[in-house]
This record gives sequence, C-alpha cells and structure tokens, in this order.
Amino acid sequence: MVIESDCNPTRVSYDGSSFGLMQFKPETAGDFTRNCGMGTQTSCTAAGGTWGSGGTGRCNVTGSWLTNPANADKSICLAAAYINSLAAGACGSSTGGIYAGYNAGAGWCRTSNDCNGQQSCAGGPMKMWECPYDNPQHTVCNEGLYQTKQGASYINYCMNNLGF
Amino acid sequence: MKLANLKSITLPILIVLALTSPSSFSRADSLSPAEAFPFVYLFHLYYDNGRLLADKDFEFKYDLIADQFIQPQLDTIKSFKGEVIGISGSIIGNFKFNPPVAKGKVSVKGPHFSNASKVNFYNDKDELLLTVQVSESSVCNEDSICNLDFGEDNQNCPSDCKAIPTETPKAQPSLLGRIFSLTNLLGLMVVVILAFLFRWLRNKKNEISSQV
Repeated sequence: MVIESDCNPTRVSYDGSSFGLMQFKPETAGDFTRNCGMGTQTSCTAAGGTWGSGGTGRCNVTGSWLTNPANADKSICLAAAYINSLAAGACGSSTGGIYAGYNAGAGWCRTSNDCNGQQSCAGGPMKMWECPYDNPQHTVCNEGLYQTKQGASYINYCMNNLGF
Repeated sequence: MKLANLKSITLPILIVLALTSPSSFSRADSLSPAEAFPFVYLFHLYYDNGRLLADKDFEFKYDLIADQFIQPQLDTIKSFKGEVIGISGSIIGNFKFNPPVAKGKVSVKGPHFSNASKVNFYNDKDELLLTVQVSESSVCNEDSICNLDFGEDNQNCPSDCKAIPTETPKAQPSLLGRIFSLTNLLGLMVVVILAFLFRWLRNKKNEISSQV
C-alpha cells in the first residue's frame, strides 16, 4: 500500500489507469469481485458496484468506486484475491515474485530468454522481470521495469527486516 | 597479405549485414500489453463413474490464476476436452485434458477469455458432461458499447471498443517513395553487397588458382 499509493485511497496513477489504495485497474478488480462478497446482483449493487449488462453476470467497479475511501476494505480484499491468483501462477509465492506480478503483470514472470540458463534469486530459472539485460548477448541493459525491480527489492527488505 | 585484405573487406560487410538484419532489432524478452496480464481458469471438478461435476468442497467452481495457459501433455489419445463459449454463443477457445482415471477430485486448467460466457466439458466420445458459467470473470459483454469505466478497451474487447483512429492522416508517399521504402533499400543494399562479395571472392579464387 505504501509503494502503490502511499496509503492514499484517492490516488490515481499518472496515466489514469490504476486507482485507489491498491492501485487496481477496474478490469482486474471486476474479475475478483465475487471473491469479496459481491458475487450476486443484490450484493454487488449494495456494495456500490454495477451488475453486468449483456448477461455477463459480473459485478463491475469503476475507478471512482476504487478511489472512494468507503470502499478501501473491499479494495484491499480484491488485491488480496489477486495476490492469491498470482501466487498460484508463474510468479510463485516469493514476495519479490508476487510484487513483480502485481506491479508489471504475471506475463513478466515467464522464464527469461535474455537470461537463459541463469538462476532466479527465489530459485528456479530467472524470470523476465528479473533479467538485468535486454538482449541475449547481454550488451543492452534492461532499463524497463525499473519500478518493479525497485519495489520487489524494497518488499524483500521489509519482509526480512520487520519493524526496521 | 591477401588473407588480411580479405578479412579487412569481409569484416565490415558482415557488420553491415548484422546491423541491417531484422534479428538485430528484436528483443527476446518483450510482451504486448495483452500478454502482460494473462489469466487461466482453474476448474475444481469431481469425477464419478463417467460423470463430471463441480466439486462441492470449493466455494467457486473455478478460480482465476494469473498465468499463461499451456496445453498440458496428454497421456492418451482418448482425451477429454473443454470448449470456451463466448457471449455471442460461438466457440472462442478449446483445450484438452487427461481423462480422470478414478473417482475423485479433478483440477483442470483452461484458457481465459475476456468475452467468455461458459465452458463446456466433453468426454472422449464428444458427450457433454458439464457446463460451467464463467461470465462473472469476463469484462467484455459485447453490447456494442465501449464501457471504459469498467475496463473494456480495444485489447480486451475489440468488438465493443474499436481502435481509435489517428487524427492526423499520414502523408501519402510518392510512387518512387513507395517503391523504394527504407526496407526495400536495405534489402537492395544487402543483395548488392552480397553480389559484389561473391564476384570479388570468385575473382580472387581464379587469381590464386592461375598463380598456382
């Protein structure tokens, strides 16, 4: 929450795509609304969501819903459900891996071709987000995903030094 | 001396070829925005004497896993299959899985689609065993309205959100410009260089053989 929004429930990302305490995208948040007690039309509308049109049977939330401080608890629940989903996938359950998937997307947790044969800090083959190079020849530095790498290191430090 | 000359000429040519080849511009680790946030359905099922049911021990019939779908290796040709049906009713994806060998819990993974309505499960005889509704995890409702507020965009819902056309039209290149586009020129350069190199090497070979 500190990294994502500085604990500000009304925070909107610079590109206007991510909202609230957990900096969620409405698309992803909607996928997990049923995990947070918003899985029926009644519970969805009661929580301020919009029940899906076109027969989708989905509880949709908007950016303004995600930035409403009254929905902060739901926002955290949605993020927790997404973290569970990340931990069960290629990102794995290491704190760094989960944060990388949360920040950059689970697609970046695939095995890196640029760092083929190298070991990840969490064990196993090195992931795409971890590789410091942007080509297999290792002549170009990977300057992208800077926030992801920095955030993952920060979270790892916090987890290993609780109360610092 | 001759060998040194050969090296001094071929090396720059090889460098030019390497720099102009498309592979030198490609990045091995790269993703499109759609690939960055993949999902997979993980269905919680129960197999009992030819019947496939939803596992009652789970609150939901399926969970979403943030991962890329990989078709599992099949142990038999008599595999079961799943079909993902879209909101419009058409088949938008399918996958295969190993048939359960005994009564009990079965976990099956399938590819997630943002416009999926349900997933049908069939046995090896193409008999429908089970249908699981999945629309609660589908952002694209195909109602011809682009619901940007809920996260529909032209990546996850191209049927509702058409790509926004660029406002400034591109200047039409002249006929000569179209014929000799940058790519064509690079290709032409490579062909010319290769032709010269081939001719030069052939002459050198003839020269050496005549000296011998």
